[in-house]
Amino acid sequence: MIRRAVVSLAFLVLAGMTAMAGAAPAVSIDRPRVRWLPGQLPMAGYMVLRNTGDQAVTLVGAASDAFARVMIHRSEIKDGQSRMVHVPELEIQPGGKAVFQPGGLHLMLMQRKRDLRPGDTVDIELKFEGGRTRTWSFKVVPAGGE
Amino acid sequence: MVSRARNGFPHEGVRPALWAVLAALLLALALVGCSRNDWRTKDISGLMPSLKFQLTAESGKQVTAADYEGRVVLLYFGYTRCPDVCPTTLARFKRALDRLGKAGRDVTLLFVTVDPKRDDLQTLRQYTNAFDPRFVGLRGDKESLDSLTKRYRVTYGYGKPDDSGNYEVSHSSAVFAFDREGKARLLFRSTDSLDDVVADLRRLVGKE
Repeated sequence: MIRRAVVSLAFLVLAGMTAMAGAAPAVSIDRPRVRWLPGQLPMAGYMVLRNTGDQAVTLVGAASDAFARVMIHRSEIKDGQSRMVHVPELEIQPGGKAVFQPGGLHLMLMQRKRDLRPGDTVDIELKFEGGRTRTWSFKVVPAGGE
Repeated sequence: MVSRARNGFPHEGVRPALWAVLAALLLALALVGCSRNDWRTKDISGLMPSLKFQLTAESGKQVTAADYEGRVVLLYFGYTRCPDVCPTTLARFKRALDRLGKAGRDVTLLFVTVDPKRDDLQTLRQYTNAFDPRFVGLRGDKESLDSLTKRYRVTYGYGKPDDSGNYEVSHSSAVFAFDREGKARLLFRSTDSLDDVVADLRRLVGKE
């Protein structure tokens, strides 16, 4: 009897944990966009991510069917020199936001798998800690746009 | 007598006050006069040499500074595989030139690649055209590139290639502006507001 209770309790806990891991993180997105560049040049994706939940979320990566590789980068200008640094993970506190904008944080989108033009949309999956993901549609905007 | 003296006092007090106001006005005028020489962005007149280079334009033509004489020239060092800072800078100057309207037609932006190994002329042409037809890509061998970067004291460097052979390039983030005679005049930095850039460019283009 007790054994059965323990087993079912363990099962419940496990099921709960699985459900939690699978739950989509409470994150909202503003202005998801990709700045178009010609040919096979790497492009940058921008957006504002907001943590609308009551727990911190950590962005750990990104992927897209349209690109062979997507990385999280940050541009830095130091002593007039500009360079890029890889951002392995990015924590967003409850109520906080992560601003991906020109000249700062951006998704670096490499090796297009299909032709893209300004006006197209492209799906990008953002990966959060705990194996949780969210996919959003990004608009491809002209090179000279903001 | 006393009352007269008293009457005279405030009267005489007005005169110095008037003089003070006048002096302040004159000083203000003088300051306004001075500020006509003050640019909103960094003035590099006399600090940097005039425009001089020998490179290949995106069209395949060999060009020198003489080809751009009579035009206001913006000089920027970058590379096309730069997904964020270079497009951000180019998009910013596209907006600046658009805001200049007619005056913007007299401006050429020269985008000099610091990654000539990967940036061939076709890539450069497609890249600059994606922003604005007034933007021209320039390319040269290491010697021509280095003589230009040394001239303007800018540096660039290559990162370690990753497993797919991609490497990053660090480069100067500023844009140099030259007047119609090819004299170095202004340095635009990423921290300058678009309003300031537009105002100074308008002055540089105009016949003020």
